[in-house]
Amino acid sequence: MSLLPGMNHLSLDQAPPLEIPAAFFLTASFAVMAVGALLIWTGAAAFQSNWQPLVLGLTHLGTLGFLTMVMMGALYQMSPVVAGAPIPFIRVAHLVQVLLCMGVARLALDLSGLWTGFTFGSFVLIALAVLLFLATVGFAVSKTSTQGETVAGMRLALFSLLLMMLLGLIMAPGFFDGLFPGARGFWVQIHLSTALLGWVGGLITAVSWQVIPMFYLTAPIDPFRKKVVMGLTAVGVILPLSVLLLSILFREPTNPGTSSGWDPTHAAALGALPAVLGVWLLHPVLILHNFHQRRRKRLDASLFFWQAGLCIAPVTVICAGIAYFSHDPRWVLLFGWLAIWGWAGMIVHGMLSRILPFLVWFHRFAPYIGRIPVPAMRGMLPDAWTKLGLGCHLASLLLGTIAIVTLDPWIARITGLLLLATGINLLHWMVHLLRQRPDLSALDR
Amino acid sequence: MNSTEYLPLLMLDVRPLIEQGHDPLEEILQALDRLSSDGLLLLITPFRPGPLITLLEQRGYRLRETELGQDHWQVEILTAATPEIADYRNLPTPEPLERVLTQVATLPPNGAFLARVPRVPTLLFPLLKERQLDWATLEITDGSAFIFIKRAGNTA
Repeated sequence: MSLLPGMNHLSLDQAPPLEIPAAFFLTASFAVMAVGALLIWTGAAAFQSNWQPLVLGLTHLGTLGFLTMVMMGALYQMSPVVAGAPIPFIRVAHLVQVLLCMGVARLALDLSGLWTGFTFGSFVLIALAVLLFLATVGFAVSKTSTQGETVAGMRLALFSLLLMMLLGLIMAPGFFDGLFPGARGFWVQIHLSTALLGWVGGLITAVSWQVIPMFYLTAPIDPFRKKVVMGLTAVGVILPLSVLLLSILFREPTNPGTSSGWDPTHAAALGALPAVLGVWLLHPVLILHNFHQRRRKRLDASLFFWQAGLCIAPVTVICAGIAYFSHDPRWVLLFGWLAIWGWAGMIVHGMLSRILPFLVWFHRFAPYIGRIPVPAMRGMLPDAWTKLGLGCHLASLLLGTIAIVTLDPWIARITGLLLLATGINLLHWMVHLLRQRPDLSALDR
Repeated sequence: MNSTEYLPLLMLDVRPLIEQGHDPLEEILQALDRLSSDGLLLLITPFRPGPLITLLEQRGYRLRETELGQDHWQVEILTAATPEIADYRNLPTPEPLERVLTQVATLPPNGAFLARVPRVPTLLFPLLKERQLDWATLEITDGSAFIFIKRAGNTA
């Protein structure tokens, strides 16, 4: 036991079994493959307009099927270890994963025109998955006594997830009967800023404070700067929602161009600016500077993912700015493409290549160090496979950008092929890692 | 743990005492009295404490001083029985954990191991507990930490 008081709280029993985060991570790779397959099948049709059901299907495969799936799996692991918040009813995680998986698959099929039936069912499945997740992980993280910017960021991300889900659920019937609760653009904009900046951005920034000094040997990030990024993100999530509430309370028209004193769409966009500044400008500058000054400059493929994702973040801001003022739909598509598969996608892909080897090593091999021969974590995942994933992902990002600009169907299909390869590579090395087990027969020798 | 027990890791910052014009020698000696026979006292001073180093070396302690900044020195005071400090600060996660676990696997009863790691290794604690090892940690202002690990002696 610890010779110091207060050092005995962390127990392996509190961490979830490896199978729980691993199941989420494995499923996420199928979403990447599905996006690739849909792009191969549809070609540039997916890039014609941001209002097409197909684009919405592809977007939600990326945001829910890939990003949210990985982020939920990571939170199951992080909450007890980082936030000291053991998850109650941990086996419910399997139900969350199945519901989310079914909901996203159904939504993608519905919106791609590959399935017809009771389409609202997909939203119900997704909402149930999110509610069950929040009832367990959200409850644990909100109740923990652990303080700090990482826990605060996790709370903000979980709060944003709830809001994002509620907004999506309110908007959902509009996709089938055309009756949105207000102007579609206004609601989508708030749903999007809550999802990308609050949920994805909140968690990426929160996790970065913890994992970047840990995995890449950088100096700890200044607490004041962390608070500034966190504060800006929180303000940028709350202000657009306040605008939405005010517009409902005062029944303001939410169609741009309708003059009645103030335009809620512009107000909501302005309200999101602090989060844009925090997540897509300040955070990348802080982390890239931190990387530059790291103590031991060991080359690592996962680091390139972080660097690429962070460098893309300011480019998404430029695209978002132009998209806001331009009537050319390609700018909105470009913004979405870069934000989902560039900024967030690169970071999440890179983190997977760091976190999963660590989890497999920690859960399966670390207990036997000194008792039987145990491989080093660095040797468990060949660097070449991570580099192959990086190459495919970067190439798909670049070609996807060209496809959106040129609307060339063959470039769109090659983009799909590269994304398919990215997903297959991801699945391949995850399965390779998960098949590794210690040779326990050596214990008897 | 109660106050009569000896501690393996202690830190004493004497800068406020010196700033108030007090001689901190008595506090330092009291801290050394509370230190376990194989422990480490980390002393923070505003200058290199030359006379103190001479005095403690004469008493059999091993000392290692580092200038951390202006008016900021760190002196590691080790007893004759304190193990050498393994420095794992320049290793990324989970290499410090790997190294520590490999080292403590061969610790004899009453044997101790002391390492400096990049941060407080919370993930290591359950693995040490599982191996029935005692441990203590001391976090430093730069975020790094000392970890002291000991295998209990044979009680049979």
